[in-house]
Amino acid sequence: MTYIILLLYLGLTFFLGYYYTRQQTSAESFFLSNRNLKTAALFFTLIATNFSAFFFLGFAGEAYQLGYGYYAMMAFGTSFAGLTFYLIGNKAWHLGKRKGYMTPVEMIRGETGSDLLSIVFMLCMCLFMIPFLAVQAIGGGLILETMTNGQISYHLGIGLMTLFIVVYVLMGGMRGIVIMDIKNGIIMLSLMLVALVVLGYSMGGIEAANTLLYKEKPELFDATADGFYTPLKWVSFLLLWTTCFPVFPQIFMRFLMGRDLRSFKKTTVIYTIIPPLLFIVPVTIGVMGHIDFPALSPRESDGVLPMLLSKHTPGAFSALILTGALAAFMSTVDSILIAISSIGTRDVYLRYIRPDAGQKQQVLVARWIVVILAAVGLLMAWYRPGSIFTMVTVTFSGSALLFPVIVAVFYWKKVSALACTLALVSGEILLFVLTFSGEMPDWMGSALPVLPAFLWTAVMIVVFQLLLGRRSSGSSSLNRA
Amino acid sequence: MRKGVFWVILFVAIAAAAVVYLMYFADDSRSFLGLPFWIFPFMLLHLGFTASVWAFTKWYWTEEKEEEG
Repeated sequence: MTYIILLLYLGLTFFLGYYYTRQQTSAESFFLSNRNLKTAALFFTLIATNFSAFFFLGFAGEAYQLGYGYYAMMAFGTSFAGLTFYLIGNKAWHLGKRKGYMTPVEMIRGETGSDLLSIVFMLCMCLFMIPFLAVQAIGGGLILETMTNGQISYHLGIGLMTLFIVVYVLMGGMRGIVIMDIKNGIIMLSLMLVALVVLGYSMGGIEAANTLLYKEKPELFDATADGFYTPLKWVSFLLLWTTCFPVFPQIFMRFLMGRDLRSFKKTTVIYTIIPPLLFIVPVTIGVMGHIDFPALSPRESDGVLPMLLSKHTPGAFSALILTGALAAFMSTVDSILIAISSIGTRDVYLRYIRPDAGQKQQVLVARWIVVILAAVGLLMAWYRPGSIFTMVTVTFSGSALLFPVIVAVFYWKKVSALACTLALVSGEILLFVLTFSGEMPDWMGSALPVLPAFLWTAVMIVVFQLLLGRRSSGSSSLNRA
Repeated sequence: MRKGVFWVILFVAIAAAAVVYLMYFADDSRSFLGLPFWIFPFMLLHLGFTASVWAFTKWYWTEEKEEEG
């Protein structure tokens, strides 16, 4: 039965990929779905892209470690991202529509006239996505292993899922991905809700489970996660979630896909309200995991949802719910692959190797990049260097430093590309030192490394600008266009 | 510009209110479905945030339209 459910889901995905193969007529269609998405499609593609395997597995795993205090952080941080989506997305949409930009790197180069800044920006944007890509593959491997009771091993699972995703991305392009995002978004959200209801019922009710846990581990109910979240840590995480999401290439490119600004505005507002309603579900499941599995390590707790399903529900039902996790995982991986491949094609191949490449050749190169990227993500997932949460935090921190650069380019008419480049490079170096030296300066207390690195980057843009003067060439900001 | 500063102050104030409430005033006694009570005032704060984002996009979008015109 498990295999039938799995095959039905994969078959539907494959069919959609094949169907939309026939609709690929241009590079704009392959990369940006012809820029014609309305509110519902835009919302679901944003949700499905942003809510990854981390939403299904990492959330429950981290809530297992930190309790309900984790909910407050994630719900508020993610919905604040709706605000930054609008600030960045609004300008990006205008620029994309007027000047035909297809990638964020193209936009940075076009608006500042600087190859140096666009290359540094591209490297930061893409390199930090590789661990995130690996996180998705790890999630897929864990899900398949659990679904099949170990008949498909973790390593075989990540291989099979990566292969499958590569095939349907190569066929369907962005149009196919958006359709699959809508399907995957509906599947993952509804199945997560079903999982909570069924697990709660099998544990004697959600209220009974919480009552039992409150007696045994009251710290799980503490809003500060038993002192883990200090005010400084809260500010760090809030800053992190709010600023990293809009600069992910797969999210940024969705800003360019809206049919009009009205659709984008509605999507933003809906995005701010959905997280608090949804996130309580995986967090409650993670906390309830303490009843059956009282002492899991951080790495083990990433699998708490599949473990609970295996213990409390029949194999077929467990497989059905985990199909939702597969949906979450696949809808994020495909978007990352297509986003980075479009950057590689437009901003490297077309810019520096074959400026006269035709539409068909661009799509062909993009497909090759998809294959190479998937292989790199697979390799990293194979060795699995840390827990899902740790890898995600590193990825997100590095990406967050791109935010002040984009804001400066979009909203500060006179900013120079060199000031942005120097600030970004020095900020990333500072982040690297703080993250891997293991010790934060005393004055930073419990803050995450991203907080001082982010503030440094933002302040240094201003300092370098004052030292270096006005934007040098090619300036064509939105306000002066 | 002046109105833009108002929005920045509003959003920072909402975030600060959330942090102060959770750090110093949250009551972890249990409520509906055995969930901690603090979740529900927190959700109300969240609804306030969503309403302010809606108002912000309404204002900001109008500004953009004027700019285009």
